[in-house]
Amino acid sequence: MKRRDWLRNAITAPVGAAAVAAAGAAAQQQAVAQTPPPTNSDTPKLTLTSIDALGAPNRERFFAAAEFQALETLAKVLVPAYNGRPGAVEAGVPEFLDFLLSQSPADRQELYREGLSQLVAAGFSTLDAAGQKKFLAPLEEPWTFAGPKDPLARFLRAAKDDVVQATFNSRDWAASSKTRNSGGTSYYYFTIE
Amino acid sequence: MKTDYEVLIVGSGAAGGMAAYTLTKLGVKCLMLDAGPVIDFERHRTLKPVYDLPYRGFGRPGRFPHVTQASEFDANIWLDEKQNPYTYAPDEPYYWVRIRSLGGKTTRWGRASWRLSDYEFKCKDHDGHGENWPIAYKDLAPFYDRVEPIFRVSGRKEGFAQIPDGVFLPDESTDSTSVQRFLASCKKLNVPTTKQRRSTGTLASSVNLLLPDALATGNLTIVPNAIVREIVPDRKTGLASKVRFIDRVSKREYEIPAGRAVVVGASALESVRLLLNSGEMGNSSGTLGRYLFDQFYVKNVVTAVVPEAKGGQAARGLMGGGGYIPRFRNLAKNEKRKFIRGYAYDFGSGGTPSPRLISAYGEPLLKQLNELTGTAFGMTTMGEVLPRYENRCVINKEVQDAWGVPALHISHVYTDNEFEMAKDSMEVAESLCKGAGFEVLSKHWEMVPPGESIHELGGCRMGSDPKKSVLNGYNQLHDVKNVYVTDGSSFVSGGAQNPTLTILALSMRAAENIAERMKRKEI
Ligand SMILES: Cc1cc2nc3c(=O)[nH]c(=O)nc-3n(C[C@H](O)[C@H](O)[C@H](O)COP(=O)(O)OP(=O)(O)OC[C@H]3O[C@@H](n4cnc5c(N)ncnc54)[C@H](O)[C@@H]3O)c2cc1C
Repeated sequence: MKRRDWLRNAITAPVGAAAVAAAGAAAQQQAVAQTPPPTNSDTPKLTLTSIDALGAPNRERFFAAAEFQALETLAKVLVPAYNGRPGAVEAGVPEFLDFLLSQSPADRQELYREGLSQLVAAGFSTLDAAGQKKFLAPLEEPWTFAGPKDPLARFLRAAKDDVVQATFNSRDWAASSKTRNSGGTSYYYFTIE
Repeated sequence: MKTDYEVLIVGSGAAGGMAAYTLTKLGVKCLMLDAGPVIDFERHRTLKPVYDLPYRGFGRPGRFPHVTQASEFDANIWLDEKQNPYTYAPDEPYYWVRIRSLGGKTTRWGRASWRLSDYEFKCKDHDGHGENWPIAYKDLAPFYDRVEPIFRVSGRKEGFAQIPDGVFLPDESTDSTSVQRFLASCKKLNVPTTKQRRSTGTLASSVNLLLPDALATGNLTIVPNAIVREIVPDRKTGLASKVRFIDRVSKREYEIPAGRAVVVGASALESVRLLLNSGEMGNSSGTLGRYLFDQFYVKNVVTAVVPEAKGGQAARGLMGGGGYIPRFRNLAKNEKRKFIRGYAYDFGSGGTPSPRLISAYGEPLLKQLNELTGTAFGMTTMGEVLPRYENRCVINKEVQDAWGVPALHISHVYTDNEFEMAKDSMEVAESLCKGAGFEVLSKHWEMVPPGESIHELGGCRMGSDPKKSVLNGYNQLHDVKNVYVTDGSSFVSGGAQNPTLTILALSMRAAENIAERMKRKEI
């Protein structure tokens, strides 16, 4: 389901609830002569919606425009839309990573900045498929625990992990799956005073 | 004021919880102080999909530099690392994993419940290294027998000397075909296998299995949010006479009587920290804080793929399940290897290999992930770490936590015995998987940093010689007769078995000893 469709559903859903509320108001008018006593069931149970459901947030602009463009291209190449499921760009991953990196520890920011600046310098976004493949060759090397030494290769590995996870954990990815919870559902613990 | 307690217990996890359970049932009045708040499992959590979390499951960056187990879902229950700092040398990272709430880490533990054996208790007799414990397996066996039913441990009796059988809920589950193939491969190489041994139930924690019964006796008072900073000895007798603690919320300081005895069960490193901060209480041997160790983990030492399961083609019953390989190295005295002692494995069938193990991106990656969905077979090594004099913690006078309590500096490194063991474990794991006809996708022998296995042990070890140890065979300080330390800090060696069942048994045994001595007026 696209974000737009989702929002439409969200907007249309409460019609039933509104009808109930209207009926309640009518009942209240009839009972106007008598003030109802307070009940013990006054604690509200409200249905709430998470911020993420509102759709694409403003970009933080942690990355400069050229860096962001390179990140967007990279995200698209790493996880393209495929087999009826959204790719990284459809899942808002470049914007999400721009935000995540804006809050990340300095060494992580440095890794991304350096990596993306190499992509920008190489004109990654304008390369043809063969050129991009050559650039991304480190990702076709066998996995090792220690990882590569070369900073560009290290950046590419980090970006692949992040782009894949951010796509798979997205609302759009979940919406495109048959079970609708492919990113996983779990107990969230609130802050305890 | 509540002053009718006879024993003051610090901590409410496995060690503190079991001490309270045992003492209160024997009619001893106890006061339990725990540094953390209380998790209300009804009110404090709710089901959420990962995409509804503000960081899409990545968590707030940098919040937990040392707790790889923390997720964005449960971030709020792990100890805040900024409020509770500790230090280490830059090239000696130590990942100290802590939970501060009623029940301690038992609210989150993986529940693997193994007994130690005389391969650990009498390790020096076996290979000449380190020290024997002052107790033998037969001393602890009756307590294991009583702890297992409380924790509803399930397992299968095998007669293996290195992991003695216990009082189990019998595990009659059948094995999937992939696991059967793996077991056959192990058998060919003379590698022993068994089912997991685990505490069962939706929660298997001090908060539901120990504390309710203890409270029901009417002999237990639990006070959360009380951070104990110091045990104060009596000037004349040297016995513990007062305990100072801080209200976690208001930071106000309090001082209360110690009662007739104090049980310290704040988890291994915290208990050592408390004794060090109490004027190095119990340290006449100079070994307090020394002989720290844990178990080294090589997570996913091998990740393999069951080829017949590829492309969603797995026949029913092919995938799923898992098991355990107990130590099999150096059980005979004359084995000649590059290392002493041994390691164990957990293994499991099912799940999908991590995308990072697949050397591809774009469509080929997504295609392969589809192809490999549900095909994975994984193994993790858990290895014995030798306790060393040099591996230690001390108080770092420069650093304090948010409550003004001096913090720990931890020096803990692995050395060749562990490295050689890890390498061996990778080679064996690979041949076991290949023997089962699995395709090995990745292998490595890099262990996680010390501490990350969450099995920190030692620092306050037992021993029969007061010059070489802090505690006697009943977890009682040699120097201060009314203070007992009943958590993992008391371990002399640890094998490869997860330690909590042994902590529980030791704490039960120590608590009974306290009650007896109190009756005999020795405390
Ligand atoms: C994710 C996870 C998985 C695990 N899996 C397993 C497993 O499968 N098998 C296994 O055997 N073990 C496992 N463990 C380890 C197991 O949880 C611990 O061994 C066990 O809980 C230790 O018990 P303890 O009482 O020593 O410490 P804890 O359970 O940590 O309890 C210590 C208590 O002391 C309190 N405290 C600390 N400092 C102070 C102070 N100054 N004043 C007052 N109170 C204080 C804390 O708030 C805490 O409640 C796992 C742990 C985790 C987190």
